Amino acid sequence: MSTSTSPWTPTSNPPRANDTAPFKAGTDIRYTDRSAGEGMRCSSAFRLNGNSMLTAEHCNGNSFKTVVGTDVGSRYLPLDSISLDVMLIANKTYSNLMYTGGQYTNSTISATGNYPYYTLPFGVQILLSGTRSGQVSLGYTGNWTQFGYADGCHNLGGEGKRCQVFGANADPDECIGSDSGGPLAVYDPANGRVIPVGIQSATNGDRTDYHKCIATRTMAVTYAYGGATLG
Amino acid sequence: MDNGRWRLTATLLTLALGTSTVLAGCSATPASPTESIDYQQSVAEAGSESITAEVSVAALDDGKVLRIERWESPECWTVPVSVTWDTETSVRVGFETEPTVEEGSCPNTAAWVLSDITIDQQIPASVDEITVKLDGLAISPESSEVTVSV
Repeated sequence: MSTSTSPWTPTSNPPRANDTAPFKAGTDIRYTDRSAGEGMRCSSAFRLNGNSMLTAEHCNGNSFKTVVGTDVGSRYLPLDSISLDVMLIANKTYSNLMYTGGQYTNSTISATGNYPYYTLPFGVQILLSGTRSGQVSLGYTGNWTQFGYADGCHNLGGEGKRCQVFGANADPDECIGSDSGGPLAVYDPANGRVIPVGIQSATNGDRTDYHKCIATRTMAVTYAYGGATLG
Repeated sequence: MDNGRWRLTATLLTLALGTSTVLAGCSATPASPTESIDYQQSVAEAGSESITAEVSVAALDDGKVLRIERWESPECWTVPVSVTWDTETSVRVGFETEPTVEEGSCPNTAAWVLSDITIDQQIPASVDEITVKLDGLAISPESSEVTVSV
């Protein structure tokens, strides 16, 4: 058998795949899905209350590791019972930094605060920093609502109803599989940081064409965790 | 999620994809009824052996089977729908999203998914390698054309 991989595939582990504590937002996290098996892949998002890290609840594992096997932490306080696709990863140390740049870069920026999503105008730039897409720009489009569901709610395929979500327009092959759980933020040029606004959850439409990127609002998340602090 | 091996015939594909129905954002366009795709698709149990690869293509069984591996959201993965030989050393494999989720969005997790596609065209013994062009996969353009030894 002969096998060929992409000719431009890097030979070394990219930083997102080889992160060490304190772990950053946008890290490549692997887990064993309780129904789908080993080798599943998601992204991490923002630090919460200085001692845990957000990701998507449907990243359905009990423990998480980097690609090279470093322990990132374990499942903690999932919010699927209140229809949020969010949970925490805890028991390790976490950073307020978020990876920037492409999939294979090691640059970071501070990610602190909690952007009031309801002030975002249609079309404003939002940054996604996923382990598959790297840093990409999305265009904010407001509440994402599926027909037949309450405002800001949809059926997250295979998982059930999830709410407090917004949509953003994504280019082909951006915001795709393994970006789940990753951070969405708005750039704050005055302070040289980004402000958290969402946690990547799902897509709607053909991911190889222009499609919708769906994320859970961080404001809903911090409310659910009792006024928590991000960053 | 169904981890079982799937085998579809051209007849089933025509029935499933020929309607151009848009189901909850998963659009399906008609597949050519002249193309016959025989494949098995499954989630790899241990994920990718390659840490960063977007796609891996291999020729198995003396070139009778093409194995195409890539990261996919297992709840709404893409499946091969066409195999077209441009020349005797260049083959184009088309993929489309399978609308398994009739009502809803696609969770953006990823698993390392294997597709074993039986090739219906005999590769001449004099051919050492073929070029495989991949359409419809969520991978970078740089990865969409791979040379494989046979």
